[in-house]
Amino acid sequence: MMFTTIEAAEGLSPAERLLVARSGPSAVLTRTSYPGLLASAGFSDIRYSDITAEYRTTQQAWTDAMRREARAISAAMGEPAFEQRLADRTDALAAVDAGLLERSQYSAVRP
Amino acid sequence: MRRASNDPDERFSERYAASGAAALLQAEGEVLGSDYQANGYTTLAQAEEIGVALGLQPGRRLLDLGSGCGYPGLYLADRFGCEVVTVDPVASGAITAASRAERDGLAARHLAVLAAGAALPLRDDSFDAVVHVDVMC
Repeated sequence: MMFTTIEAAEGLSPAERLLVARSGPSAVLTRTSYPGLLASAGFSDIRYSDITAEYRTTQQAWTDAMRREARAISAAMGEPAFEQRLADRTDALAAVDAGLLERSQYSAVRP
Repeated sequence: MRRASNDPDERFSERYAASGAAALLQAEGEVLGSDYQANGYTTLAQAEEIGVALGLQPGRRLLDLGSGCGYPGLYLADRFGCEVVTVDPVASGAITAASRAERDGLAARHLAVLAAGAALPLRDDSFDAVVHVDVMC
């Protein structure tokens, strides 16, 4: 199995975790680490890669594209959804730059 | 002005419907290199790496959870020749994935399932590989 997820950086204060909850995806906060969850489900050979830099590049590219083609994309999405999506992307970029938000890739094998 | 929906199913349904617009497909191509009505962060190059890491090949069966309109599952099936089951809880996503598979000649190797991850209507041990991109967040 291989999956990617966007998660809060480790060791954040409660105030920072609250900020991540506001700026990241809707279920960005988890109570248990993914390696722990995978191990408890019987997976082995659990591997992790930090792909935050790639995530930042892609998020920035989406933001740039949305701003550049704002009129056409807003017409397709509807203005409220467009504004919300652009704000979400901008908030996520700020959270990445502040070291609060990360994108991770996990792989694991079920024997 | 109509408000953006707060209901997740409705919001994703609206998002999938809009993702087929020319301006968004163009943006997707620029950002991800793909044209699967995706709006996430997995580039085509990253999807390629996932396919290699999972050892996908003809005869293998891949499960793509929360696949939206079918990415990256359909791309991986097309690129590596495997079978793929895409699962999404939003009907328009599953319908779009099935249409795309038909268009790409993948219908015989693809099944779109309308379901949530917490209650998958799939047998245990029926897949060789599983992928999900930014679903659990």
